[in-house]
Amino acid sequence: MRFIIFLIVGILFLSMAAYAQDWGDVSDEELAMIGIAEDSDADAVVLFDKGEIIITPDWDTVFKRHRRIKILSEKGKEYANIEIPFWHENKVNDLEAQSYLPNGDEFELDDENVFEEGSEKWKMLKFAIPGVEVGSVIEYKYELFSDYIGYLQPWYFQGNEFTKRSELKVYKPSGFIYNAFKSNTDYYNIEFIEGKEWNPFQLSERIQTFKWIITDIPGIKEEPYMNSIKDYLAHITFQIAGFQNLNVNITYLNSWEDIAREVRETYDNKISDDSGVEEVVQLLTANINDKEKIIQVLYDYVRSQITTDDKSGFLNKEIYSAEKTFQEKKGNKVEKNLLLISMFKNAGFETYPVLISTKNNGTFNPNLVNLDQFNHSIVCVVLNNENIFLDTRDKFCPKGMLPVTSSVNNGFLVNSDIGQVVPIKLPPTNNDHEVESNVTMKKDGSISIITKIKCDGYIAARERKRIDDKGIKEYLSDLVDDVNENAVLDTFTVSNLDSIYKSLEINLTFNIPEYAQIIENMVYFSPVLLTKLNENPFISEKRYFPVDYSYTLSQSERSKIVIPNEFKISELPQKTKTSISKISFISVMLTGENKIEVTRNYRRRKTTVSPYEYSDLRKMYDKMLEADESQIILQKI
Amino acid sequence: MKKSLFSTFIFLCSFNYFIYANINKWSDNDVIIIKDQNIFTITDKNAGTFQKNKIILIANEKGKEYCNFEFFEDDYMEITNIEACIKDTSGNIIKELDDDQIKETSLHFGSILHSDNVKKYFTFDHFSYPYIIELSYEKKIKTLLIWPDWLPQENYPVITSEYKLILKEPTSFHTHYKGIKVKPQKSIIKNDSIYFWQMDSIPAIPEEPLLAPEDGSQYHLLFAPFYFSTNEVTGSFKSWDLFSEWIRKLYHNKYNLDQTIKTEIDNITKNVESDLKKIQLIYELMQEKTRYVAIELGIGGWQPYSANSVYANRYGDCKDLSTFMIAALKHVGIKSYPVLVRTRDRGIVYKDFPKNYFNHVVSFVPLGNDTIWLENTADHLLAGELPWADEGCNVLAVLDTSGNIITTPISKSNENSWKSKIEGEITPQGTFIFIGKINLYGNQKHWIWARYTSWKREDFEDWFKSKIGSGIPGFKLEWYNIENVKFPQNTCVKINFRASIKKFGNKTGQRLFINPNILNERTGTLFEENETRKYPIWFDYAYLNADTVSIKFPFGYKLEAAPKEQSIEFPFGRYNSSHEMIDNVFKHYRHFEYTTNYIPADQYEQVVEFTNTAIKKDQSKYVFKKH
Repeated sequence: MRFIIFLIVGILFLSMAAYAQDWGDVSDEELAMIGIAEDSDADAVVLFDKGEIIITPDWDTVFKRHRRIKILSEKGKEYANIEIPFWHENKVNDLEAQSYLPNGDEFELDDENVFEEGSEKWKMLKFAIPGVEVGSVIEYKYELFSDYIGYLQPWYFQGNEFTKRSELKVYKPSGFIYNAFKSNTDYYNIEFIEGKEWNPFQLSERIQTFKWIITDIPGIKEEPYMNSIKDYLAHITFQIAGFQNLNVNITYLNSWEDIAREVRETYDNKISDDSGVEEVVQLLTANINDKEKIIQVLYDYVRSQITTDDKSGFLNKEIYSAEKTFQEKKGNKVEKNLLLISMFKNAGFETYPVLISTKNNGTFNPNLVNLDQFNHSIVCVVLNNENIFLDTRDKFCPKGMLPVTSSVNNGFLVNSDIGQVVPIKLPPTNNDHEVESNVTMKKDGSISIITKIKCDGYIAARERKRIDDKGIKEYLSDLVDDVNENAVLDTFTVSNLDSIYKSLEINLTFNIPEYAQIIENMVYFSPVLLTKLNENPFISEKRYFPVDYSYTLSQSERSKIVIPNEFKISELPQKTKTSISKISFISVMLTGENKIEVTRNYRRRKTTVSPYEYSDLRKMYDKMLEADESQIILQKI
Repeated sequence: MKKSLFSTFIFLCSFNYFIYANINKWSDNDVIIIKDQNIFTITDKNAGTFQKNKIILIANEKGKEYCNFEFFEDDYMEITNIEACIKDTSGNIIKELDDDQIKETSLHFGSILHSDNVKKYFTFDHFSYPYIIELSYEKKIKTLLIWPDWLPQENYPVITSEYKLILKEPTSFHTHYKGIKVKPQKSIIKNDSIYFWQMDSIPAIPEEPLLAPEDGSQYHLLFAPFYFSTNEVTGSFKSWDLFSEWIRKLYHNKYNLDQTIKTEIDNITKNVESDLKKIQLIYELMQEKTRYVAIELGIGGWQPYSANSVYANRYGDCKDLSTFMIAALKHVGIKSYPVLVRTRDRGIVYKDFPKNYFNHVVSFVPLGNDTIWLENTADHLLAGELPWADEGCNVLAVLDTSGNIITTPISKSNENSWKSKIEGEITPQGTFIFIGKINLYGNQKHWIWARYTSWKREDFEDWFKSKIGSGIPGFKLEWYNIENVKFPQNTCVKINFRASIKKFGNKTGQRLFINPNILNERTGTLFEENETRKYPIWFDYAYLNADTVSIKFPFGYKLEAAPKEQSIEFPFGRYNSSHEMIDNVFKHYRHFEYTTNYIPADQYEQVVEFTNTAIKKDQSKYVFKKH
């Protein structure tokens, strides 16, 4: 409907050159605007988002932000409810907000309607901009003051909604040295302007300014098989590296050595080789001479015997020492790893923490020397000059694998003297998922199935976790339920549930009443498959970033179906074979006397699929779905 | 501190024997509440202290979820003296809770933008099972408006639960019992009147799916005082009239409007004679001019902002927007009233037991013999339409001098309908190209409109594609349009779309297998065969889905085999599915209807049969053969 009005009323699009960006200087065009050509269904459009970073004469930082947004729908009114999060030591000053109706009426935010909420470390200012209707233009601005200049928030040019213009300007007094790292900006025409202006805090001084501008940036949304959305948004990270003049030379955390030192200041007193773990280390390693075996035994102990809790804390003083984690027999994901380091130390190994940014936190940029990039610490233990990487957070993850979210490409190794960025290499894993079924059909169309499932690698870890969460009976009931809603679980056995270095094996029998559809003399049914695809996860037609599966996969299923003597095979679906580079699928059905053998294989020999291959991948999934739902036709004799 | 520990010690000593004598009965549970002790001491005529002491057995790792504790405090309630310890089953203390383990946050996420609630929380557990958590805390209660009830039933069995009421100040109150047969033991000690209730062996809350909210708990003892006060505004639960008087005091002087809005109202109503039309126009003005934003500070949980303030800010919560609406109607001479609602998902209001049940405010206009209900937080309804959460509720209408409990109407299945029509053609290449229309009314409309207006647009589109394509390979939504159309009697969400499905159906040789249920296919059920049902089945609203699909086949295709047509009817619903093939056009008709949203437990077997029949038919395929 909005689209139609849009066409009828006429198109009032704006040229950004016409926008004024001073506070309150809202143009008639902005007020009259009813949509944007680039996104005709947009709920709101960010007219501009302007950030400034200023280093004050007192060497504090002031981050100024001014946003102006056009509200285009009822839903878009949500953009008028604003939340500004800030670190508890910082201050938000000079907050102002107002809205304008299309007829020009103005509404100003009353200070009384600004609320502060918070927890221990993070605070949030909240307010609802008054007077907002569909068609309103809202704007707000504030200053975030910090007396710490070592870290500045990255500037995201891109968000959920279309942004007409986004810019970051930095005022750099003489002597300051900076780094700037751009990410995902190559897709856009980024304008860079360097100049000199009067220092806003010291009007007698001319200082350097840098400005980065991007215009017409589409919104971005979450998709399946995606890591942190931050990895895909156009952004720039600006960092003050130091200060230098004739008399002074100051460095702000600009070397990995500094970061290593800071990490060690926190971790060193949490880790020690006498954390009360001597006894248990001795007990666990007694009579084991093989060092690799000792590593496994100690890893397995922490992995399985110390509970992982979801308490936050990564590099703060409040995290438990190894001793406390050991005493409590629980710790968060970092605390457990610190305990493992202590145990390795006690056992005489060379071992270090390795800082990583987990997949859901965004990719770590080794060029950006910044501790805030990381959110987790795993373990490196050295054996025969080789680094072995371990993370104890997942109790179903065997040595040699890292939990999916920790399986990243590199990390920052904090060894005794100096830190270094290291690649995180892991031995290849076999992520096999094998299913074999013998299916017997009765003449009423019901079937009974005997199935054997074997899982290894990440598949086994995933399934063990599901079993642990649900309990074996509910897990298996859900499994057969996915095959058919009417399936009834009969018997089952599970092998190696706790032996995570062995294949997880499940044998089960189940029945599905009235599985085949019988209409007069015809009998129809789709093959019984436990690995079948239920839907195509790739709904979006286009994708601008890779599909990240995290691990390779080899999935094979064989199903032998015996049909009753009263039926004969009439027709079978044709073979389906489809592939893209390093990912393939094949489904074949063969017949014997009163027997049908269904073979379904899916192989994924790479972990990421580029956006260029996305369309083919999506089509491949459609073909897989089609094959899994194809019909076998029998006839009554 | 010492006093508190001492009382805890007494509390524990007196029950250890009981613990071990009875625990085996529920030995297969992950958690057992060994003891739940509630002591409410009324210290003066409008305040009290509520002491909670609890002993919880955590039997295994699955019980760990019970080790997360949360407490909320606000202007009227302060949480103090939180203490906890973990013991082994022999009673030896393993560890005690440190104060610094208790975290605090005032951050709010969700529908309330800001309130003065503060959450205190901690996790307190141990690695070796089983273990016992002993927890105690106090709530300092500053108004008897929020008198704590006794709700002895939990998600896990409770061995013993008790409630002690100590009146240090003479206090009149009344009570409401559900499932609790015991009467209080009454005593007087040092001028304190004491009431004591105790229940043993309380089973866990039943786990049947689709329970009515009021069936979620089988036992309660509710309390309500005959006197309470908030910010020196006194009230009473002695009768609904008296409670309404308190509400009226809170709403007093909130109905003024400034001239700007009065002029705007005059402009839109000046040539309108009908009151009903005026109500509709003002309701639409309110919908257009305001948005829902909840800011609840202190008394603000109960007291609205003024109508002028709502207009100045163009926002408010349910009671603020209702106040604005009442003021606007008053300006054109139409009398309307605030109505307090306990939304249906929260449970029921006992007509004969006045108490503070309410979590929502709407307004109503008595208009001749009609009552016009106004749900002021929705931007897509007509005046008079209510969403399901407001339906079938005993609500309190706060009138000029009294308070009346009125039951809101319940919508019928045909008022909550989904009617769809798909028409298309299969190309010789096998692609089904079709156009579709869906008209949604009543609560089915609210359901989809709520998603459309609250979700991110991309998320809605993805959801809509998955809903109408229901996982069909090759499905592509080419275009869609959604609008909320207002008719004189009701509103309707109309969705028009154009889509295609490549390689429609499953082809084997010359045969094409097609399931025509593209939009509505019942695939699963919560109702298991051979199970007995103890409580009625309840869902949000009765509804009706009617779908017509018309498929034109390429030349040469004939319908070879079709599942039997199906028609089944029970007192609670009906289903039928039929088809016809005329020349090369196949038409499929489907009708699924629950005529009520409340089905007695003794009809459970029929419900199972009903849903299984629909599932089987919905999933069956039609076979077309090319000749």
